[in-house]
Amino acid sequence: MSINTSKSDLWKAFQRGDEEAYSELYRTHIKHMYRYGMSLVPVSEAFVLDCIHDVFMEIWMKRDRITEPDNIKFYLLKALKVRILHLFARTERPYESFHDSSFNELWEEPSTEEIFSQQEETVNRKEFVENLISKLPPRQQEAIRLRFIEELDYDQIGVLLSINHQSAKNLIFRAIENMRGWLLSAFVIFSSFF
Amino acid sequence: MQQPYQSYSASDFVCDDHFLAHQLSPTDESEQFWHDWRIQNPSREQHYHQAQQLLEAVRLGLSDYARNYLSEEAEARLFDRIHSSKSQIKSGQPGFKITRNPWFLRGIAACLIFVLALGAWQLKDKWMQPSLYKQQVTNLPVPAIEKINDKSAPELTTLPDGSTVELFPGSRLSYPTDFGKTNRTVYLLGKARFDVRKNPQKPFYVYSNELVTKVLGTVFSVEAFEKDNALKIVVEHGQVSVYQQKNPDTKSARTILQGVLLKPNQQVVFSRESKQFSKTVVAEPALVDDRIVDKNSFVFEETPVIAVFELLKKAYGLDIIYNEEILKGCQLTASLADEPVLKKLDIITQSIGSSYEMVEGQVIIVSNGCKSP
Repeated sequence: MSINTSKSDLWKAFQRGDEEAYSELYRTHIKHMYRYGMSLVPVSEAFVLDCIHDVFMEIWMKRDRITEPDNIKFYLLKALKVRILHLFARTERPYESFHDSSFNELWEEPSTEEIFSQQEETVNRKEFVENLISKLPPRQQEAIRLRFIEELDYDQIGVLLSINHQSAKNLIFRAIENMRGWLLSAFVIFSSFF
Repeated sequence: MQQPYQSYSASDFVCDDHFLAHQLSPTDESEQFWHDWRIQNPSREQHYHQAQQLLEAVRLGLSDYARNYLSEEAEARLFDRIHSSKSQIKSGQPGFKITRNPWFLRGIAACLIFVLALGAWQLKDKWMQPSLYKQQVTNLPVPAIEKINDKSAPELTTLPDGSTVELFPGSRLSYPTDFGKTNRTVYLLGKARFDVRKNPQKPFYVYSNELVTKVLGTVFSVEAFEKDNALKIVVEHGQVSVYQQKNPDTKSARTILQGVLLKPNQQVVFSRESKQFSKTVVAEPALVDDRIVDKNSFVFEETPVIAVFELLKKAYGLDIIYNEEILKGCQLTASLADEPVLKKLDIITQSIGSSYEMVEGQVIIVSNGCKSP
């Protein structure tokens, strides 16, 4: 409770134009914004940094008009994604994997043999699970990052992916089921997981 | 917490809010709840346990994402940038005391419009005409992995196929996440030295501004910074072909225009302005055939000079052109060892009373022949 109160105090101080509160907001959230932004646009760090810059400019300029968000981290991640999509739309080179859901169907599921050969190649457990995650469709990857690292709830994940609560939950369930199946088949072969 | 946990599978648990909250940051209350629940439901223990391991595996697989942080300096730099834009905007914003002079207000309005237009124009410039590198990388059908070297020393990267790249300061390299699946393609902005694993089935392509460099397996470097007018490719081992791309937006082979073939110790410089290639020998050609590093190899005693040139050709991979008829009678007695090959050529040609020229990456021996001894 006290954490929420202090977060709320911080936000109110920021809305009054307190520079210290503004830098505190930056310090607390820059790491989350950076890694989320980079996961959306891995090709250009400079682009991501520009977008983060714009988000912080925007909230400063509109600070007296923004209603206090329930979750500041979620608010900033969302603002960042909106900014990124906005700039992509302006360049008339839409980043297709963002929207195109049929893109997911192109993602073929790895066969047991592929997992087998991958297990041989990868030197450690971390690399092995990283490889499996990279086999998930991009939206499932984004969803599990938001869920298991950013610790957002299904409603918030739904907003970021433009889907409802239930679809967000289904998306993550499917990702987890995929991972479980692959890990189990690796286990059957190598007895090294579970 | 009235959930039908009795029928939960491992994946159901992982997707459950209370389960996740308890695994990530347990409280006394959640500890108590799950402790009691597990005692009451021993039949679900296997699923609960598997769920814990599944969650751990997923978080392990995401740990690179979780640890993808900016350096503290970069964080501070970005904040300074935000801070300075903020203070610029502040003075341009209405909100400070406005004087009654209408001309003053109009002045402000004009300034604002000018600033906005300038900003929009710069943004347009920045996003409508991104560098070829940015265009190519953003147009890839699959996501790309980008390595940026913002340090002061070169950095070594290993590509999925085992080839290595030494990325120089201020340079960036991207490759698609499916690198190696159908072909091996990387995109470079800046300077890098490549040591490419041989794989004739999958040629290795480097896209750098207007040029494409195609190799099968070799050591070479590419220098193509955004701001520079000249692009340079230098070959150490193997053979490399360099093409100009007609339309940099596409990477189809049909758009390839003109190109040059490079052998070891050759380099090509491409002028972006004149669109011309110029092929030359590198300033200090290195030995390419290690079998000839024997110290006595360059000790000659009344050796036909033709044999000497043939040896140099092999050792340094150089194209040495001479007229066999004219040089037939020339012999060389000299002891050469550590001097660079161009120095060696100087000594050899001078001792037989001739000279050499470098044309288009080739060494041409100019001689009137030797008098028979």
